[in-house]
Amino acid sequence: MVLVFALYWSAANNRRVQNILLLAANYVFYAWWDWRFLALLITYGLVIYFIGHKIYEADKPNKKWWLRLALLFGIGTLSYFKYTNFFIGSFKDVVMKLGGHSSLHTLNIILPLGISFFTFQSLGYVLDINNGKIKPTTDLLSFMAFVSFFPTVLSGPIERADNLLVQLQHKRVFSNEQAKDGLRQILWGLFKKMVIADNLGHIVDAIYGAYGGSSSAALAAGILIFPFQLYADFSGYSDMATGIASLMGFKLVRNFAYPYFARSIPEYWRRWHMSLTSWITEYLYTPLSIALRDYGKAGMILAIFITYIIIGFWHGANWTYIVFGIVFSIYFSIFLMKKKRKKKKAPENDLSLKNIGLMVQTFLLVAFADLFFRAASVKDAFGYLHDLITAKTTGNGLAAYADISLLLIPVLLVIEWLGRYKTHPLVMTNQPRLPVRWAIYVVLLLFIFFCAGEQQKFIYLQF
Amino acid sequence: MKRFLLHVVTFTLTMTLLLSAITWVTDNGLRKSGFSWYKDWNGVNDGTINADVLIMGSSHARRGIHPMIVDSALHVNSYNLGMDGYMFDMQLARYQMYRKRNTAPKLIVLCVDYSELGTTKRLIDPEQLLPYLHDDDVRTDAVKIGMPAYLQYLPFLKYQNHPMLVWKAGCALTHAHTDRPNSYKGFYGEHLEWNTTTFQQFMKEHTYLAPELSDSVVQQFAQFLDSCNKEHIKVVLVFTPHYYLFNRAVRYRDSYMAFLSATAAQHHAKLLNYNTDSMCYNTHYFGNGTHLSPEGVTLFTQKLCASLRPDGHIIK
Repeated sequence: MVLVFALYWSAANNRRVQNILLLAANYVFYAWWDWRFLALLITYGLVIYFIGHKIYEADKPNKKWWLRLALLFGIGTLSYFKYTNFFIGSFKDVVMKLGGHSSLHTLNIILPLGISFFTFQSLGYVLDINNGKIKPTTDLLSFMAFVSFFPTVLSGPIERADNLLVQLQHKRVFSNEQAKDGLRQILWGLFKKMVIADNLGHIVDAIYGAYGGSSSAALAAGILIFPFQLYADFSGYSDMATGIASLMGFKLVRNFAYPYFARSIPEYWRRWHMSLTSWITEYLYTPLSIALRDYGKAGMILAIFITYIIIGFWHGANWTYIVFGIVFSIYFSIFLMKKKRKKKKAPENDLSLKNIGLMVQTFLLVAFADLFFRAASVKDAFGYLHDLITAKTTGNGLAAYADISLLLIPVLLVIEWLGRYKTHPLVMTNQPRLPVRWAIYVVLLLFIFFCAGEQQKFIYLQF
Repeated sequence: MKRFLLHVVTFTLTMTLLLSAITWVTDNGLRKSGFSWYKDWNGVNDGTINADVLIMGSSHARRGIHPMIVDSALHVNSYNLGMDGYMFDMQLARYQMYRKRNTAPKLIVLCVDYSELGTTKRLIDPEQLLPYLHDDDVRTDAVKIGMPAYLQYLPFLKYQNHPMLVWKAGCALTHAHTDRPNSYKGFYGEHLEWNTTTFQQFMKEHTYLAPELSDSVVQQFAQFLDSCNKEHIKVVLVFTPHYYLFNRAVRYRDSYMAFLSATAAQHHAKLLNYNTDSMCYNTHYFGNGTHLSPEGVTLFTQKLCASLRPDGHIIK
């Protein structure tokens, strides 16, 4: 990283050389994680670049065909790698349940890292060309760097061409403030991932891994702790990605805006994984709701269901993610039905009792949905719920799992609440004195150094 | 850009200095601490053990031979330097550290078992070694076994993820809290009780049991015996009792015992084999297939002392 940074900025006067270096860094980084699919990533970029031009050049009927080809290519590749075994397995289950026998076998397919992310990023590009929002780029180098941009290729944020690609096509000027802010964001991301997520992860793993032997209190705690692990893990990654991009002179889209301070489910999705939400809203939900608008509320609800099931399924090839999507569609549908009764809302970011109540309510709804996200199977999720509801007093109590790292949850909430007006809590808007700034960095680094949990994989890396 | 780099470098240096200071304080605190393994290591490091009889080996020594019984039976000052899970190479490194700072023992009781002369890449409780990496022998061997090599050059990173050790070191330095020692002269008493189901499960899972031999460790072992001879330190090799069904499952055990006998004879060391002792047939004396129960420890240590007693020269 230091080498990339040094080489990259030593070529600050030559954008082309910078992009070559960046592209090389992208490919080295991707190959470092998994070299087997580097060819796929390169092919992906080339095909989408070519189709992007074809869509732009073609007349209206042919335009549609080229777009369909792009979607078929993108979604087909994603489906093959991610969903083939899921469909084979589900088909076999159905056949067996009907008393039949299937000789179909699941295939030995390895999921390329980041495929869900670079697929959406690339498809966003062709969809934007099709919608006349952007023109296809003639700068192949920049486009290939856009598709494989190393800070985001594995777990997002899902970038748009009108943001990242445009920046790649322009000269980057080193900004002291931007670079320092990038480092601060990396530091905050590391703290969230290594200290909070990795420590909470072990508690969550222990509870979910042996839910049959845990008391209801421990199971309830598991449901409440997991959303914090997930948030610290994923937003930690996003912060690091955004911070690294800042060091290279790029400004990425924001991916999280303190989602657990949301006061409703729609607000939660406007604050959680924002790059995915905006992608889905623009390219799926809006066209769907327009297509179904003639059916009134039923059409809207159908659009919501389709959207959230796809969001769930995008995460992974497992029924748990589909149920996760369905749970959110139910929440949204209820919200939609109740929408007419407009109540006066307390101002956002206000710590009034009403707001706190709404935040807690939203969090509990999210935590319930996340149970399906975390469980290994739908059966496990319902087994977990059954054990929770039956008020089991036997088995490991909360004390068996609890440790000091649980204190990190209130710490996280307090820090984020104090920083809720900023893109991340370490943004130094009023520039405190140097010793104060350094003291903050030192404390966080000491926590990372001494109190990091045993390293766990990024949760979103599997998607 | 220059300003940014200057800030980054200055901050990195400050952080390095701070971590180095914390490391220095932790090292010194743990070298005064009675917490867990440190009491024994500190005796080695401070040169305050100076035992007549030194018991060495792996967990079979540390949890199998009680110095209190040895002291009263032989009227000597004995000390147990056994190290859980470690093989001869690390035991030797610790012994060499001991010898640099303590007087030579008159007798070394070295417990050998099936894996004593093998080699491993697994550090057991690596935290115990951290304050003593200043010792060349310990550091070299620790790195050979699996301690990250970069710690040799970046020692300020060694207490990463060990906030408890920093805390314990602070307590030791400020006398805020004194840990009760969990061992007696290096002996770690453990209330192990025999469980037939666990033993059977273990045997099912370990279908291939065979002695381990590493050429380099065997060479170190021979050199160690020679150097003891030169220093007139008597060495008794002791094969601690193992449950007979465990012994029976070990392949090549006869050839291994023959190898040990030959090595002992070649280097004028005595070999005491307790694997044919009557206690090996009684589960009452075992906590598991290879470790003794408290009753087993008492009986075995008494038997061992009875065998050592004829070596009158070690008795004060």
